[in-house]
Amino acid sequence: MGSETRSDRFSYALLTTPALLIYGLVIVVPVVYSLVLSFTDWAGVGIPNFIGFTNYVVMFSDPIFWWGLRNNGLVVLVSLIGQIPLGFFLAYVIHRRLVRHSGFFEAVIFFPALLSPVVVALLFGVVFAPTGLVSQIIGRAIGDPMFSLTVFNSKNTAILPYLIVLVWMYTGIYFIIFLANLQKTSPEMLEAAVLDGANEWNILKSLILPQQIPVFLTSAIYAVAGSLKSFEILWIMTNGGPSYYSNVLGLYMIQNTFSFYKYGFGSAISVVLILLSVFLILILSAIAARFTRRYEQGAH
Amino acid sequence: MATWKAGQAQVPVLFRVAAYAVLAFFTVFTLFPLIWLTYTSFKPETEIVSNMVAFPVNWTLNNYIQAWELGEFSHLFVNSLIFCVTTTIIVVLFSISAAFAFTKIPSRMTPILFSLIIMGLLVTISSSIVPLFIAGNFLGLTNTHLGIIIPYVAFNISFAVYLAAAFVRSIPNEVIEAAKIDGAGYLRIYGLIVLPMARPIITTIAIFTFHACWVEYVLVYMMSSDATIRTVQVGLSLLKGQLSFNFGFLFAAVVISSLPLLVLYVLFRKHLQAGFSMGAVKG
Repeated sequence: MGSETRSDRFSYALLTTPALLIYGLVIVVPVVYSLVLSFTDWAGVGIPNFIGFTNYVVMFSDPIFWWGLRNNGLVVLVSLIGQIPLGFFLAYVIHRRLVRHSGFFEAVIFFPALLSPVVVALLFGVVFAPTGLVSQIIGRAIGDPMFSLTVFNSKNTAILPYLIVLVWMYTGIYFIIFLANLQKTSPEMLEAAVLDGANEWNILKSLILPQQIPVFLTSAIYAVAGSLKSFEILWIMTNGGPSYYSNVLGLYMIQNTFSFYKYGFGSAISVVLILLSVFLILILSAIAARFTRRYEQGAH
Repeated sequence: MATWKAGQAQVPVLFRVAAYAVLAFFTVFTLFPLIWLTYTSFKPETEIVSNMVAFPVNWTLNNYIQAWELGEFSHLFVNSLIFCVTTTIIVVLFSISAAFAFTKIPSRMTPILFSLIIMGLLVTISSSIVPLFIAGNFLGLTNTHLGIIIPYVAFNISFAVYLAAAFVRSIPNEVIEAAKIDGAGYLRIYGLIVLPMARPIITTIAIFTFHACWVEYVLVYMMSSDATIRTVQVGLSLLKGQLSFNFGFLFAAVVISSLPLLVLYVLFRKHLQAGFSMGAVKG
């Protein structure tokens, strides 16, 4: 390409400015602003006082923070060891036509991902309520009409319905991602492998899985970033209750900011959430880099 | 597509059994709640109270009539449409033009600006709702249409630029060089060559953005203390508090609110899938 002329620079500016301007104003500025606020005691009105790391110290000594972090950890875990492997397995089965009616299954697996979080929360709020659908079905099966499922009210298991809903709703996205990537596998290579007498297990292990390592990594990054930040479903489904047993950090942030008007404190929680996802993503990238290197060395 | 069939490779029996088992489980787990939700929405309240699981005996449309009126859906739908259509148009225009500049006009700024925009993929509405709410109040944008549309555009622009850039990059440089030799500037190349060629990616970005706007909830909930700018999702979430024990009514509202998504799914399934899948596809 030639050197930059004045009219080229003008076109460049004209074409990129609208996107950059709106992005900068709504995304970049607030993130920086949030960081500044997190060191203040601002309550939404008046002048914010600079209070150093006090918000962070208070947060780390609050048991609700740690319980939210624990639940966030479970959400990340379910995404990484539930949604992604399940999504890959389903995509593999459909792509290799190991079952009939693959078009039907494809539609069924993908559909929940399109529903709105509000709808999903309302539906599963009733399904998993103490006297909801699951309780009623079990009650009818064991012949006790007054049966009520208490497992979702106890401290350790209150987050369980949310985890189930997450797998149900979002596995379809990873399924679609893997399906699209599997379709790039060269048919010639597969045919050669089949002619050499490879069975399905060999093909999966030696041919297809190694090629999908980068897709696993990008999926994992999306999963971590998404699962730390989203909380809409939980907000409507349980609002963190009973007590704070099903709370996650996103909800903890909303409660402190909009119920208790602790804007500074809420911003500090946002900052912790961003740092957490950056930290997890760096770890994931390091692990993936190792895997890729080992695979490349093995291939030589 | 591949010319071989699965039968050409030996598939261990265990593989097939596991495949069918997982798929059967997934199908039941997906279809049963949705079917249950749908038939419950046609059930009179007395029947729901006496037996939550059973099929309706006396089918009724009453839940729908009530839900439509009490939920004020006609006005919620108008708001949702205004937000989603406007956002989609702006996102398409801004993202294709930025992607064209980033990929086809040489500039030393591109690496910085492009990665800055792509980093937005990791920022979600819920994670920056506090500063957005403060800024909205400060600028007097709460309870205005603009106060919703501007953030919607910003939160969808990263992914749109990412998709558009991948597409525009695939347009051969020769095409653009040839037009330049003929004396066309970049703006004319953009309008006369790139935009018409980008039709497929424009459809994908548009459908994907529209869907993302339609299901969004947190921002409108926070920015609309006033009922006049509420969307379908917010209206739906508020119904829960009003009528938490009348599932038939609530589920009728859920079905009403989901019909546009069903239409979108039936008409544009391939585009929706493309949008979701390109997120993690390596070019």
